[in-house]
Amino acid sequence: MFIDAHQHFWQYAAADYPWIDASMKRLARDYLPADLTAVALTEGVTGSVAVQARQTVQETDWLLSLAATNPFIRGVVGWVDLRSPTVADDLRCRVSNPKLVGVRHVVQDEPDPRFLLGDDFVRGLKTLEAFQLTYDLLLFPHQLPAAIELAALLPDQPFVLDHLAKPQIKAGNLADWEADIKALARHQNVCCKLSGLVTEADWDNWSRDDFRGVLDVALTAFGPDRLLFGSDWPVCLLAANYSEVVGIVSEVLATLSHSEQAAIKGATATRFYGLPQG
Amino acid sequence: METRPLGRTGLNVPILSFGASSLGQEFRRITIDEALLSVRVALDCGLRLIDTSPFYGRGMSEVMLGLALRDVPRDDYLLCTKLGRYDLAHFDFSARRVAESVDVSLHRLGTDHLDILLCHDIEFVPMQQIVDETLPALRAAQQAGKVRFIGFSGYPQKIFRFICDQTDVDCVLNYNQYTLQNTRFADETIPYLQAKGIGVMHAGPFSARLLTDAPLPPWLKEPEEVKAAARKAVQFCQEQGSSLAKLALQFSVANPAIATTVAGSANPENIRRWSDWIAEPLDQELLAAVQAIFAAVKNIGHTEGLAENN
Repeated sequence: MFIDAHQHFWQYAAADYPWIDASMKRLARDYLPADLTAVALTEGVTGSVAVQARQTVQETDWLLSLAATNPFIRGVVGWVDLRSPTVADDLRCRVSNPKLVGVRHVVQDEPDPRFLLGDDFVRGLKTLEAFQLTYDLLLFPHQLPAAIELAALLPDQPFVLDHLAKPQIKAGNLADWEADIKALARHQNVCCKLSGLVTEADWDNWSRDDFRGVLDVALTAFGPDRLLFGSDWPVCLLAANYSEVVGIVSEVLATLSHSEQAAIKGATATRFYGLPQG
Repeated sequence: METRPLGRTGLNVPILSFGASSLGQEFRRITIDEALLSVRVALDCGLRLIDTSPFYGRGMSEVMLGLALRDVPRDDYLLCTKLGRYDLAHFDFSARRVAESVDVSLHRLGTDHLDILLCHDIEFVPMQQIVDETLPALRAAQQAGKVRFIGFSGYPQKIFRFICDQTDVDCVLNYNQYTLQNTRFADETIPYLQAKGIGVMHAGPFSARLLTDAPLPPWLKEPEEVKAAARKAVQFCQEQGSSLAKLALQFSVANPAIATTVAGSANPENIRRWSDWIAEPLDQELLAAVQAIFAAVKNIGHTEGLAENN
């Protein structure tokens, strides 16, 4: 089993994806399930978790409709407005779909470093617990302290950190990040995705060595049973092709036992998200 | 073991693969211990692509493999199985049966995905169905992540252009037609497949024991003059202190245009011997002499399946 626990799909329209700027022309086109399977199967990846990229429930419903007709998509991490008073209704009408496995908010774009701890947001997160949905933490390093508090505040809510909170690999500014990752990992309700790293390095001039340090930190802090492989395709294409992204993580995998490899390659994702087997 | 890329799949496959038809007791009775040991020895020797089919032993080969591979990490081997042929004269290439067959094979083999899935012996049915119905159903299984790469297998050279002129596949498997006696696969078809980037596999370097020292089996379909030449070649190789089987295997795996050669046995000793043979250099002088013995019967084969598909 090899599951890509973090990828995106979209039908590109400039107005819907304002973050895709002139430097990201490669992303300004449709990316659909057949595009993913064309590159993933070659690497042995046979299933994926599709993650929201726009903050609309329409996108969530569209991802769920893709998942309904594409068994390759094992689960969907969608978006609902967790701050909304109607959050329970917004979730209730969707949780009957077993492919909805979690929710994510683009917290990295929120100016308040303590956005995660806002009263409305925390109330929304408590609703997730009732619906047995996971939550994906999409953060920058300076937002990690809030995530650590949040993990302590909601010890029964399963969280997964996306992209190791985007460590500043290119700038090499990693000391605070490392301390915060270790603190976050002490909370057993938090898992972490080995994903999104290549786009934090120099897009045009990275090497596998650039990622060893941060991967080691994650491996030591979380351990294989709380780590999930994710490609962040198609965003990764800004810096690397799918095969190269798998290659970055496979270097770490090569140092592990078979059962540890199996955890990172799919067992953790299957357990954490409650994905159907095969 | 040396590997070669399989077309455009991105897979690197060993030049010699393990054919698991013997595990279905297609050719003689075997014990479960023999079957388990054969698989283990094959993997130890680097034959890490395993080829099977629900036809082999009517399911028994896949079941035996599932047992043998139960404790082997899934990344240590590649699995190729087939569908559509379920008995000597029972064929079903319907889309509905494709879906069922994939799930049954996954269950027997104890895995969540197949690396390669082939339509099996398609020359036995009107082949337009393969293009219109079967291969689209295989593509659906591929999009579902149950199968990584798809294609078809069969004997007559005609099948390859018939299918590949009309639709794309990832890889194909031919058998008994890239051997010391018959090279029609390479002569007529491989350049066409290569131009399309299709992965090329060949099974049966010994052509159903024709090119071994063993007594010729009753299921061998080649005409009498071919058998006579083979007996002569066996004797010649023995006189030269070598063996026809060794030369046959070395010849088949030597062609770089064939990604892998599939050979099967439920006898662990055979597998070890093959693995040693292919590590040795091919005796060009002996090869030339044996090819001369087969010259008069070169490329003589037989009809397989429906007449229209030959």
